[in-house]
Amino acid sequence: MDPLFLAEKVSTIIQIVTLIVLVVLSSRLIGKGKLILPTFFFTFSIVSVLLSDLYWITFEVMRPGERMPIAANEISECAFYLLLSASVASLKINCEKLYLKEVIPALIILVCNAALWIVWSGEWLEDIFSCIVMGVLFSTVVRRVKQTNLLPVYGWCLFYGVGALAIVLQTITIIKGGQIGKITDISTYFLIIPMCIWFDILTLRGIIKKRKNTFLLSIMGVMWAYLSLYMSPGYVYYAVLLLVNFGWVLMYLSLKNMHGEVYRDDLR
Amino acid sequence: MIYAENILICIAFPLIVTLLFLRKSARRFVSCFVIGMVVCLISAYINGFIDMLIKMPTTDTAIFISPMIEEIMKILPLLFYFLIFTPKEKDMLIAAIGIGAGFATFENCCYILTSGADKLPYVMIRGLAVGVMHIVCTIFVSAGLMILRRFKTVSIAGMIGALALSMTFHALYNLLVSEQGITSYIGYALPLLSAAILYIPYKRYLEEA
Repeated sequence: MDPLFLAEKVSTIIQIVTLIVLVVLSSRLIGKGKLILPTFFFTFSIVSVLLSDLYWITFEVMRPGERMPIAANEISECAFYLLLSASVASLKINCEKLYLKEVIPALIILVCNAALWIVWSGEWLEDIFSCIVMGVLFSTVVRRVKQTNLLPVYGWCLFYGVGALAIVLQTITIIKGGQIGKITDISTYFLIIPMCIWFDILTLRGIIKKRKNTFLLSIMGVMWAYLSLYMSPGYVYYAVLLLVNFGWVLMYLSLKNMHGEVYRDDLR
Repeated sequence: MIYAENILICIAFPLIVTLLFLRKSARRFVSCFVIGMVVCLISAYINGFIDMLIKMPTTDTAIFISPMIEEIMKILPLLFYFLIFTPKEKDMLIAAIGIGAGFATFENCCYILTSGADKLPYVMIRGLAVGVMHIVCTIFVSAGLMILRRFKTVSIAGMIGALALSMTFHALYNLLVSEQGITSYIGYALPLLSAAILYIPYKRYLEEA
Protein backbone atom coordinates (compact mmCIF):
# COMPACT_ATOMS: atom_id res chain seq x y z
CA MET A 1 0.00 0.00 0.00
CA ASP A 2 1.21 3.51 -0.83
CA PRO A 3 2.61 5.07 2.41
CA LEU A 4 1.15 8.47 1.49
CA PHE A 5 -2.31 6.91 1.08
CA LEU A 6 -1.89 5.19 4.45
CA ALA A 7 -0.75 8.42 6.15
CA GLU A 8 -3.76 10.22 4.72
CA LYS A 9 -6.26 7.62 5.90
CA VAL A 10 -4.69 7.24 9.35
CA SER A 11 -4.57 11.00 9.99
CA THR A 12 -8.15 11.47 8.79
CA ILE A 13 -9.41 8.61 10.96
CA ILE A 14 -7.55 10.04 13.99
CA GLN A 15 -9.15 13.39 13.21
CA ILE A 16 -12.67 11.92 12.96
CA VAL A 17 -12.29 9.97 16.22
CA THR A 18 -10.94 13.09 17.99
CA LEU A 19 -13.84 15.16 16.68
CA ILE A 20 -16.48 12.61 17.73
CA VAL A 21 -15.04 12.48 21.25
CA LEU A 22 -14.91 16.29 21.40
CA VAL A 23 -18.53 16.61 20.21
CA VAL A 24 -19.70 14.23 22.94
CA LEU A 25 -17.63 15.91 25.67
CA SER A 26 -18.47 19.49 24.73
CA SER A 27 -22.19 18.76 24.36
CA ARG A 28 -22.04 17.46 27.93
CA LEU A 29 -20.50 20.80 28.90
CA ILE A 30 -23.54 22.64 27.46
CA GLY A 31 -25.72 20.69 29.88
CA LYS A 32 -23.80 22.17 32.82
CA GLY A 33 -25.60 25.43 32.25
CA LYS A 34 -22.60 27.84 32.39
CA LEU A 35 -21.01 29.58 29.41
CA ILE A 36 -23.78 28.05 27.32
CA LEU A 37 -23.32 30.21 24.24
CA PRO A 38 -19.55 29.83 23.72
CA THR A 39 -19.80 26.09 24.39
CA PHE A 40 -22.83 25.69 22.13
CA PHE A 41 -21.13 27.49 19.23
CA PHE A 42 -17.90 25.58 19.83
CA THR A 43 -19.77 22.24 19.71
CA PHE A 44 -21.65 23.35 16.61
CA SER A 45 -18.36 24.31 14.91
CA ILE A 46 -16.81 20.93 15.74
CA VAL A 47 -19.90 19.18 14.30
CA SER A 48 -19.37 21.16 11.07
CA VAL A 49 -15.75 20.01 10.76
CA LEU A 50 -16.79 16.45 11.56
CA LEU A 51 -19.36 16.41 8.75
CA SER A 52 -16.90 18.04 6.39
CA ASP A 53 -14.31 15.34 7.20
CA LEU A 54 -16.82 12.53 6.75
CA TYR A 55 -17.69 13.91 3.33
CA TRP A 56 -14.04 14.29 2.41
CA ILE A 57 -13.04 10.77 3.47
CA THR A 58 -16.04 9.31 1.61
CA PHE A 59 -15.00 11.24 -1.50
CA GLU A 60 -11.40 10.03 -1.18
CA VAL A 61 -12.53 6.41 -0.80
CA MET A 62 -14.99 6.58 -3.70
CA ARG A 63 -13.00 8.73 -6.09
CA PRO A 64 -9.32 8.38 -5.13
CA GLY A 65 -6.92 10.85 -6.71
CA GLU A 66 -9.69 12.98 -8.20
CA ARG A 67 -9.61 16.72 -7.54
CA MET A 68 -12.74 17.88 -5.73
CA PRO A 69 -14.48 20.95 -7.16
CA ILE A 70 -16.36 23.33 -4.86
CA ALA A 71 -18.55 21.12 -2.67
CA ALA A 72 -20.73 21.16 0.42
CA ASN A 73 -17.83 20.30 2.74
CA GLU A 74 -16.27 23.68 1.99
CA ILE A 75 -19.44 25.37 3.19
CA SER A 76 -19.05 23.32 6.37
CA GLU A 77 -15.47 24.56 6.76
CA CYS A 78 -16.66 28.15 6.34
CA ALA A 79 -19.39 27.46 8.90
CA PHE A 80 -16.65 26.19 11.24
CA TYR A 81 -14.82 29.54 11.11
CA LEU A 82 -18.01 31.56 11.53
CA LEU A 83 -19.30 29.45 14.42
CA LEU A 84 -15.94 29.59 16.15
CA SER A 85 -15.90 33.38 15.79
CA ALA A 86 -19.47 33.43 17.20
CA SER A 87 -18.18 31.37 20.13
CA VAL A 88 -15.37 33.88 20.74
CA ALA A 89 -17.69 36.86 20.30
CA SER A 90 -20.14 35.45 22.86
CA LEU A 91 -17.49 35.37 25.63
CA LYS A 92 -18.28 38.01 28.21
CA ILE A 93 -15.33 40.41 28.40
CA ASN A 94 -15.58 43.79 30.11
CA CYS A 95 -13.51 45.77 27.56
CA GLU A 96 -15.31 46.52 24.27
CA LYS A 97 -12.63 48.63 22.53
CA LEU A 98 -12.26 47.87 18.81
CA TYR A 99 -8.40 47.84 18.66
CA LEU A 100 -8.32 48.55 14.93
CA LYS A 101 -4.54 49.11 15.05
CA GLU A 102 -4.10 45.45 15.93
CA VAL A 103 -6.89 44.04 13.78
CA ILE A 104 -6.05 45.77 10.46
CA PRO A 105 -2.44 44.44 10.13
CA ALA A 106 -3.70 40.92 10.91
CA LEU A 107 -6.30 41.28 8.15
CA ILE A 108 -3.68 42.60 5.70
CA ILE A 109 -1.54 39.51 6.36
CA LEU A 110 -4.59 37.32 5.76
CA VAL A 111 -5.48 39.08 2.48
CA CYS A 112 -1.88 38.69 1.23
CA ASN A 113 -2.09 35.06 2.24
CA ALA A 114 -5.32 34.65 0.24
CA ALA A 115 -3.66 36.30 -2.79
CA LEU A 116 -0.92 33.65 -2.59
CA TRP A 117 -3.54 30.88 -2.37
CA ILE A 118 -5.18 32.23 -5.52
CA VAL A 119 -1.86 32.37 -7.41
CA TRP A 120 -1.01 28.85 -6.23
CA SER A 121 -4.35 27.11 -6.79
CA GLY A 122 -6.23 29.31 -9.27
CA GLU A 123 -9.48 28.73 -7.38
CA TRP A 124 -10.15 32.42 -6.81
CA LEU A 125 -13.82 32.16 -5.82
CA GLU A 126 -13.23 29.56 -3.09
CA ASP A 127 -10.10 31.33 -1.85
CA ILE A 128 -11.80 34.73 -1.60
CA PHE A 129 -14.72 33.14 0.26
CA SER A 130 -12.36 31.31 2.66
CA CYS A 131 -10.41 34.55 3.18
CA ILE A 132 -13.58 36.44 4.15
CA VAL A 133 -14.72 33.89 6.74
CA MET A 134 -11.20 33.44 8.12
CA GLY A 135 -11.01 37.23 8.31
CA VAL A 136 -14.11 37.27 10.52
CA LEU A 137 -12.50 34.77 12.90
CA PHE A 138 -9.09 36.48 12.74
CA SER A 139 -10.46 39.93 13.57
CA THR A 140 -12.68 38.61 16.39
CA VAL A 141 -9.90 36.60 18.02
CA VAL A 142 -7.21 39.27 17.66
CA ARG A 143 -9.56 41.86 19.18
CA ARG A 144 -10.53 39.56 22.04
CA VAL A 145 -6.88 38.66 22.80
CA LYS A 146 -6.01 42.37 22.88
CA GLN A 147 -9.03 43.17 25.08
CA THR A 148 -7.99 40.52 27.59
CA ASN A 149 -4.25 41.40 27.47
CA LEU A 150 -3.35 37.74 27.02
CA LEU A 151 -0.31 38.41 24.83
CA PRO A 152 2.68 40.50 25.92
CA VAL A 153 4.13 43.13 23.55
CA TYR A 154 6.88 40.77 22.29
CA GLY A 155 4.12 38.24 21.54
CA TRP A 156 2.37 40.70 19.23
CA CYS A 157 5.71 41.58 17.57
CA LEU A 158 6.29 37.86 16.93
CA PHE A 159 2.72 37.43 15.68
CA TYR A 160 2.96 40.18 13.04
CA GLY A 161 6.67 39.64 12.29
CA VAL A 162 6.29 35.93 11.56
CA GLY A 163 3.12 36.58 9.55
CA ALA A 164 4.79 39.21 7.35
CA LEU A 165 7.98 37.18 6.92
CA ALA A 166 6.01 34.07 5.96
CA ILE A 167 4.21 36.07 3.26
CA VAL A 168 7.54 37.39 1.88
CA LEU A 169 9.10 33.92 1.86
CA GLN A 170 6.09 32.32 0.16
CA THR A 171 6.04 35.09 -2.47
CA ILE A 172 9.70 34.33 -3.25
CA THR A 173 8.81 30.61 -3.42
CA ILE A 174 6.11 31.25 -6.00
CA ILE A 175 8.03 33.83 -8.08
CA LYS A 176 11.51 32.29 -8.05
CA GLY A 177 10.81 28.56 -7.78
CA GLY A 178 13.71 26.13 -8.18
CA GLN A 179 16.33 25.70 -5.44
CA ILE A 180 15.75 29.15 -3.90
CA GLY A 181 12.03 28.48 -3.86
CA LYS A 182 12.57 25.20 -2.01
CA ILE A 183 14.73 26.90 0.62
CA THR A 184 12.22 29.71 1.21
CA ASP A 185 9.34 27.21 1.28
CA ILE A 186 11.01 25.07 3.96
CA SER A 187 11.99 28.22 5.90
CA THR A 188 8.30 29.19 6.09
CA TYR A 189 7.56 25.95 7.93
CA PHE A 190 10.36 26.72 10.39
CA LEU A 191 8.58 30.00 11.09
CA ILE A 192 4.92 29.02 11.20
CA ILE A 193 5.02 25.64 12.95
CA PRO A 194 7.06 26.92 15.95
CA MET A 195 4.57 29.80 16.16
CA CYS A 196 1.71 27.32 16.34
CA ILE A 197 3.57 25.23 18.96
CA TRP A 198 4.33 28.41 20.95
CA PHE A 199 0.61 29.24 21.14
CA ASP A 200 -0.12 25.63 22.14
CA ILE A 201 2.46 25.88 24.94
CA LEU A 202 0.95 29.18 26.10
CA THR A 203 -2.48 27.51 26.13
CA LEU A 204 -1.20 24.49 28.03
CA ARG A 205 0.46 26.77 30.60
CA GLY A 206 -2.77 28.72 30.91
CA ILE A 207 -4.79 25.52 31.43
CA ILE A 208 -2.38 24.22 34.09
CA LYS A 209 -2.29 27.57 35.92
CA LYS A 210 -6.07 27.92 35.45
CA ARG A 211 -5.77 31.32 33.75
CA LYS A 212 -8.87 32.99 32.36
CA ASN A 213 -9.61 33.13 28.61
CA THR A 214 -6.87 30.71 27.49
CA PHE A 215 -9.51 29.50 25.02
CA LEU A 216 -8.55 32.51 22.87
CA LEU A 217 -4.88 31.49 22.78
CA SER A 218 -5.83 27.96 21.77
CA ILE A 219 -7.78 29.39 18.81
CA MET A 220 -4.72 31.46 17.83
CA GLY A 221 -2.71 28.19 17.79
CA VAL A 222 -5.32 26.44 15.65
CA MET A 223 -5.41 29.40 13.24
CA TRP A 224 -1.64 29.21 12.69
CA ALA A 225 -1.93 25.44 12.27
CA TYR A 226 -4.63 25.96 9.62
CA LEU A 227 -2.50 28.49 7.75
CA SER A 228 0.39 26.03 7.59
CA LEU A 229 -2.04 23.21 6.70
CA TYR A 230 -3.32 25.05 3.63
CA MET A 231 0.23 25.54 2.27
CA SER A 232 1.42 21.98 2.92
CA PRO A 233 1.65 19.09 0.46
CA GLY A 234 2.02 15.35 1.12
CA TYR A 235 3.42 14.08 4.42
CA VAL A 236 3.82 17.57 5.89
CA TYR A 237 0.07 18.09 5.46
CA TYR A 238 -0.75 15.01 7.51
CA ALA A 239 1.79 15.93 10.19
CA VAL A 240 0.26 19.42 10.47
CA LEU A 241 -3.19 17.82 10.58
CA LEU A 242 -2.14 16.11 13.82
CA LEU A 243 -1.14 19.53 15.15
CA VAL A 244 -4.62 20.82 14.24
CA ASN A 245 -6.12 17.86 16.15
CA PHE A 246 -4.03 18.70 19.18
CA GLY A 247 -5.20 22.31 18.87
CA TRP A 248 -8.85 21.20 18.97
CA VAL A 249 -8.22 19.17 22.10
CA LEU A 250 -6.58 22.24 23.68
CA MET A 251 -9.57 24.35 22.65
CA TYR A 252 -11.91 21.98 24.45
CA LEU A 253 -9.68 21.75 27.55
CA SER A 254 -9.35 25.53 27.81
CA LEU A 255 -13.11 25.95 27.40
CA LYS A 256 -13.67 23.38 30.13
CA ASN A 257 -11.16 25.28 32.24
CA MET A 258 -13.25 28.44 31.77
CA HIS A 259 -16.32 26.55 33.02
CA GLY A 260 -14.31 25.84 36.18
CA GLU A 261 -13.54 29.58 36.49
CA VAL A 262 -17.24 30.41 36.34
CA TYR A 263 -18.04 27.85 39.00
CA ARG A 264 -15.35 29.19 41.33
CA ASP A 265 -16.63 32.74 40.79
CA ASP A 266 -20.11 31.58 41.69
CA LEU A 267 -18.92 29.97 44.91
CA ARG A 268 -17.26 33.15 46.18
CA MET B 1 -38.73 15.51 -21.60
CA ILE B 2 -41.39 16.23 -19.00
CA TYR B 3 -43.35 19.41 -18.40
CA ALA B 4 -42.53 20.00 -14.74
CA GLU B 5 -44.57 23.21 -14.51
CA ASN B 6 -47.69 21.38 -15.72
CA ILE B 7 -47.14 18.63 -13.17
CA LEU B 8 -46.82 21.25 -10.46
CA ILE B 9 -50.07 22.92 -11.52
CA CYS B 10 -51.82 19.55 -11.59
CA ILE B 11 -50.73 18.61 -8.06
CA ALA B 12 -50.78 22.04 -6.44
CA PHE B 13 -54.25 23.26 -7.49
CA PRO B 14 -56.28 20.69 -5.52
CA LEU B 15 -54.07 21.38 -2.53
CA ILE B 16 -54.58 25.13 -2.86
CA VAL B 17 -58.36 24.58 -2.94
CA THR B 18 -58.17 22.42 0.19
CA LEU B 19 -56.57 25.41 1.97
CA LEU B 20 -60.00 27.08 1.94
CA PHE B 21 -61.41 24.30 4.09
CA LEU B 22 -58.49 23.75 6.42
CA ARG B 23 -57.53 25.59 9.60
CA LYS B 24 -54.46 26.01 11.84
CA SER B 25 -51.82 23.24 11.68
CA ALA B 26 -53.40 21.42 8.75
CA ARG B 27 -53.55 24.62 6.69
CA ARG B 28 -49.95 25.46 7.66
CA PHE B 29 -48.76 22.01 6.62
CA VAL B 30 -50.54 22.04 3.26
CA SER B 31 -49.36 25.56 2.37
CA CYS B 32 -45.78 24.63 3.25
CA PHE B 33 -46.17 21.45 1.19
CA VAL B 34 -47.11 23.53 -1.86
CA ILE B 35 -44.24 25.94 -1.16
CA GLY B 36 -41.88 22.92 -0.98
CA MET B 37 -43.03 21.83 -4.45
CA VAL B 38 -42.53 25.32 -5.90
CA VAL B 39 -39.07 25.49 -4.32
CA CYS B 40 -38.23 22.13 -5.92
CA LEU B 41 -39.16 23.43 -9.35
CA ILE B 42 -37.08 26.61 -8.90
CA SER B 43 -34.13 24.53 -7.68
CA ALA B 44 -34.39 22.39 -10.81
CA TYR B 45 -34.27 25.54 -12.96
CA ILE B 46 -31.20 26.84 -11.13
CA ASN B 47 -29.48 23.43 -11.25
CA GLY B 48 -30.12 23.23 -14.99
CA PHE B 49 -28.77 26.74 -15.51
CA ILE B 50 -25.57 26.04 -13.52
CA ASP B 51 -25.19 22.71 -15.32
CA MET B 52 -25.18 24.56 -18.66
CA LEU B 53 -22.91 27.28 -17.35
CA ILE B 54 -20.09 25.18 -15.91
CA LYS B 55 -20.52 22.18 -18.23
CA MET B 56 -19.93 19.60 -15.50
CA PRO B 57 -20.98 15.96 -16.05
CA THR B 58 -24.55 15.34 -14.78
CA THR B 59 -23.39 12.97 -11.99
CA ASP B 60 -20.90 15.56 -10.74
CA THR B 61 -23.57 18.27 -10.74
CA ALA B 62 -25.79 15.95 -8.65
CA ILE B 63 -22.97 15.31 -6.19
CA PHE B 64 -21.42 18.75 -5.83
CA ILE B 65 -23.84 21.45 -6.95
CA SER B 66 -27.40 20.15 -6.37
CA PRO B 67 -27.11 19.70 -2.57
CA MET B 68 -25.98 23.31 -2.18
CA ILE B 69 -28.69 24.76 -4.42
CA GLU B 70 -31.49 22.59 -3.04
CA GLU B 71 -30.66 23.20 0.60
CA ILE B 72 -30.29 26.97 0.07
CA MET B 73 -33.65 27.02 -1.69
CA LYS B 74 -35.32 25.01 1.09
CA ILE B 75 -33.92 27.19 3.86
CA LEU B 76 -35.13 30.45 2.25
CA PRO B 77 -38.91 30.03 2.88
CA LEU B 78 -38.14 28.51 6.26
CA LEU B 79 -35.97 31.49 7.21
CA PHE B 80 -38.63 33.91 5.98
CA TYR B 81 -41.22 32.22 8.18
CA PHE B 82 -38.82 32.03 11.12
CA LEU B 83 -37.63 35.65 10.99
CA ILE B 84 -40.83 37.43 9.96
CA PHE B 85 -43.55 35.49 11.79
CA THR B 86 -41.43 34.25 14.76
CA PRO B 87 -43.53 31.08 14.98
CA LYS B 88 -43.83 28.72 17.95
CA GLU B 89 -41.45 25.76 17.88
CA LYS B 90 -44.25 23.31 17.05
CA ASP B 91 -45.40 25.45 14.09
CA MET B 92 -41.84 25.80 12.85
CA LEU B 93 -41.45 22.01 12.82
CA ILE B 94 -44.71 21.60 10.90
CA ALA B 95 -43.52 24.15 8.34
CA ALA B 96 -40.16 22.41 7.96
CA ILE B 97 -41.73 18.98 7.54
CA GLY B 98 -44.23 20.43 5.03
CA ILE B 99 -41.53 22.06 2.90
CA GLY B 100 -39.38 18.90 3.00
CA ALA B 101 -42.29 16.61 2.14
CA GLY B 102 -43.50 18.89 -0.68
CA PHE B 103 -40.00 19.08 -2.15
CA ALA B 104 -39.52 15.29 -1.95
CA THR B 105 -42.97 14.54 -3.41
CA PHE B 106 -42.54 16.81 -6.42
CA GLU B 107 -39.03 15.55 -7.10
CA ASN B 108 -40.25 11.94 -6.91
CA CYS B 109 -43.16 12.68 -9.26
CA CYS B 110 -40.82 14.16 -11.86
CA TYR B 111 -38.29 11.33 -11.56
CA ILE B 112 -40.94 8.65 -11.83
CA LEU B 113 -42.45 10.31 -14.91
CA THR B 114 -38.98 10.41 -16.47
CA SER B 115 -37.77 6.91 -15.55
CA GLY B 116 -41.01 4.98 -15.19
CA ALA B 117 -42.57 3.34 -12.16
CA ASP B 118 -42.41 -0.27 -13.30
CA LYS B 119 -39.50 -1.29 -11.05
CA LEU B 120 -40.63 -1.63 -7.44
CA PRO B 121 -37.09 -1.52 -5.87
CA TYR B 122 -36.37 1.76 -7.68
CA VAL B 123 -39.68 3.24 -6.52
CA MET B 124 -39.00 2.09 -2.95
CA ILE B 125 -35.54 3.71 -2.99
CA ARG B 126 -36.95 6.96 -4.31
CA GLY B 127 -39.63 6.98 -1.66
CA LEU B 128 -37.76 5.76 1.38
CA ALA B 129 -34.30 7.15 0.76
CA VAL B 130 -34.43 10.37 -1.26
CA GLY B 131 -37.88 11.33 -0.01
CA VAL B 132 -36.97 10.88 3.64
CA MET B 133 -33.61 12.60 3.13
CA HIS B 134 -35.27 15.90 2.16
CA ILE B 135 -37.53 15.77 5.22
CA VAL B 136 -34.59 14.97 7.53
CA CYS B 137 -32.58 17.88 6.10
CA THR B 138 -35.35 20.43 6.69
CA ILE B 139 -35.87 19.08 10.22
CA PHE B 140 -32.12 19.56 10.85
CA VAL B 141 -32.33 23.17 9.69
CA SER B 142 -35.47 23.98 11.68
CA ALA B 143 -34.04 22.30 14.80
CA GLY B 144 -30.85 24.36 14.39
CA LEU B 145 -32.83 27.58 14.06
CA MET B 146 -35.00 26.73 17.07
CA ILE B 147 -31.97 25.97 19.22
CA LEU B 148 -30.47 29.32 18.19
CA ARG B 149 -33.63 31.11 19.25
CA ARG B 150 -33.83 29.16 22.50
CA PHE B 151 -30.31 30.40 23.34
CA LYS B 152 -31.34 33.91 22.20
CA THR B 153 -28.55 34.00 19.65
CA VAL B 154 -30.05 34.07 16.17
CA SER B 155 -27.01 35.10 14.11
CA ILE B 156 -25.74 34.74 10.55
CA ALA B 157 -23.04 32.36 11.80
CA GLY B 158 -25.66 30.13 13.40
CA MET B 159 -27.86 30.14 10.31
CA ILE B 160 -24.94 29.26 8.05
CA GLY B 161 -24.03 26.53 10.52
CA ALA B 162 -27.52 25.03 10.31
CA LEU B 163 -27.46 25.30 6.52
CA ALA B 164 -24.01 23.70 6.31
CA LEU B 165 -25.23 20.80 8.44
CA SER B 166 -28.12 19.98 6.10
CA MET B 167 -26.07 20.68 2.97
CA THR B 168 -23.25 18.33 3.94
CA PHE B 169 -25.71 15.62 4.97
CA HIS B 170 -27.47 15.91 1.61
CA ALA B 171 -24.15 15.96 -0.29
CA LEU B 172 -22.93 12.92 1.64
CA TYR B 173 -26.07 11.03 0.65
CA ASN B 174 -25.73 12.01 -3.02
CA LEU B 175 -22.06 11.00 -3.01
CA LEU B 176 -22.72 7.63 -1.39
CA VAL B 177 -25.49 6.66 -3.82
CA SER B 178 -23.62 7.89 -6.89
CA GLU B 179 -21.95 4.48 -7.34
CA GLN B 180 -23.41 0.99 -7.10
CA GLY B 181 -22.25 -1.32 -4.32
CA ILE B 182 -21.86 -1.18 -0.57
CA THR B 183 -21.60 2.63 -0.48
CA SER B 184 -24.99 2.99 -2.15
CA TYR B 185 -26.58 0.69 0.45
CA ILE B 186 -25.07 2.81 3.24
CA GLY B 187 -26.43 5.87 1.44
CA TYR B 188 -29.94 4.45 1.13
CA ALA B 189 -29.98 3.51 4.81
CA LEU B 190 -28.67 6.91 5.96
CA PRO B 191 -31.92 8.96 5.72
CA LEU B 192 -34.07 6.28 7.37
CA LEU B 193 -31.52 5.81 10.14
CA SER B 194 -31.32 9.56 10.72
CA ALA B 195 -35.10 9.82 10.75
CA ALA B 196 -35.24 7.05 13.37
CA ILE B 197 -32.59 8.82 15.48
CA LEU B 198 -34.39 12.17 15.10
CA TYR B 199 -37.65 10.58 16.20
CA ILE B 200 -36.28 9.92 19.72
CA PRO B 201 -35.65 13.60 20.68
CA TYR B 202 -38.79 14.61 18.77
CA LYS B 203 -40.94 12.23 20.85
CA ARG B 204 -39.30 13.50 24.06
CA TYR B 205 -39.90 17.07 22.91
CA LEU B 206 -43.59 16.33 22.26
CA GLU B 207 -43.94 14.78 25.72
CA GLU B 208 -42.33 17.86 27.32
CA ALA B 209 -44.55 20.20 25.32
